[in-house]
Amino acid sequence: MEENLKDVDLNVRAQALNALLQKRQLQIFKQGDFIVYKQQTKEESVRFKGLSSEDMLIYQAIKNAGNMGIWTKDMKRETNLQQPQVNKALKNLEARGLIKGVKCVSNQAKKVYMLAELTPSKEITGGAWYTGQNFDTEFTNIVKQQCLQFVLQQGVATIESVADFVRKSGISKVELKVEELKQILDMLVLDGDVEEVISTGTGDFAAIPINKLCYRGSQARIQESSAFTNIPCGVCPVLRECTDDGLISPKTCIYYKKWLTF
Amino acid sequence: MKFLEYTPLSRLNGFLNNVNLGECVLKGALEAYSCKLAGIDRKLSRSLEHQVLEYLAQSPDDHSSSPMGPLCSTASRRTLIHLILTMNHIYPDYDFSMVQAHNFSKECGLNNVKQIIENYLLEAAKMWSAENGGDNLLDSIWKAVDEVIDLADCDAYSYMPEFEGDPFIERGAIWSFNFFFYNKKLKRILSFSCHCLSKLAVDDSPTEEILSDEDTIFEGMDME
Repeated sequence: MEENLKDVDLNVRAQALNALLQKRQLQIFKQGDFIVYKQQTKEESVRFKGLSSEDMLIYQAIKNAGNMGIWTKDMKRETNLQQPQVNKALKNLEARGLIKGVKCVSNQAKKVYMLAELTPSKEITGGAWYTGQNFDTEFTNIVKQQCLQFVLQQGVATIESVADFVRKSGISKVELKVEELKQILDMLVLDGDVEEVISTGTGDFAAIPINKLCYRGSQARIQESSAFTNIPCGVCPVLRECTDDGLISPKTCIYYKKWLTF
Repeated sequence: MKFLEYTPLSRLNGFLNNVNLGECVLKGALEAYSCKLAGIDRKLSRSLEHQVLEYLAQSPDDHSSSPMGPLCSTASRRTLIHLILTMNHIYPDYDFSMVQAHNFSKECGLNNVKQIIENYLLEAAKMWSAENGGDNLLDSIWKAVDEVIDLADCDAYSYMPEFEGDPFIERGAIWSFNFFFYNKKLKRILSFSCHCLSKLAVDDSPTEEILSDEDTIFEGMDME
């Protein structure tokens, strides 16, 4: 710009730039140490016409947050604006249909905003496992059961074959991505129903490339309760200190006392 | 809801906002609001009313009872809505629309409430007295509160925070209380909330250092 407008006085240039910025025909950016001006398209300048500089500050902060959205408290910190100014800006921007309020599953009371045209990210909505604000236990359980049945049936299964099965079975109206099904399989692993194994490429794993992670039904389940855990000694925290005539002994054991009152 | 400026309350807040009690810091606030609904508040009160009515329509009859009275009565609903709107104003970064009637409890008898508060503020009262020539903190508080909201005609409610990240729950607080005094005739609400923060909880970094020290202490020790 320096070159093209060499003969125009600096002050005049500055005034012209400000006027164009006010009319929203120009947008100002910072590229490293340089200030850069970009011409706005006609539609864009109409969208932002009449909005104050505070409105635009808030708009920028919201835009920068992308599909994660930004909390009003963070907006205040970033823009250094006061509560009433922020309220006013949000009201104006919402009235123009430029921004929308969204609810996070992590904290339903936080006031979070994002650009109206964006889809909220998985972190905010909870993804496929949430319906509205609530965790959809029923849906998750159904998918979980189906996956378990499939793995047990197959003997050994890879995550892709599970994904394929779920897609074909049509139990979910929403498309479930591989990472979401991985969450389900991780659940099954932690529940002890399924175990992760690395394919050896031979035997049961013949159909699966070597060293690939796959799943099969749990071979050795730890029973939930056994004779050993049923009696107080099995789960006693001071077992090692217990002697016939010591301070801690079977005769004076408080756990047995409690256990024997039935 | 309009915030009511009142000098005696501001003066008390100046003290209560930060009381150094040695190992802990007390932070309290007295905020009075008039229940005049304008703009966003009016819109929100309509949607809240709608929300409650919808909930009532879906649930069996005996779910209508609440600490504010039966929710099928307009007055009870209005109390609930005013409480929620007040909370929105106290914490403007939050929207308490999903708070329900059962998250509040109605306190029986104002003397009870006064006694509870007096117990919590015992230490703070000593400091106030020292700084203000023997003046009694609680007396000053109740005098100012009475002038704004006419305590005798008030119902007192307490909010029980449930969800994670609720600003009414302060991290590191040893104790906290919150009361809403609602004068239906005057159409005013006064919120009195207070919590006591342990000084150890205020700075995050020192505790992290302590934890990592503990790990190195245990390194090399045989756990039998």
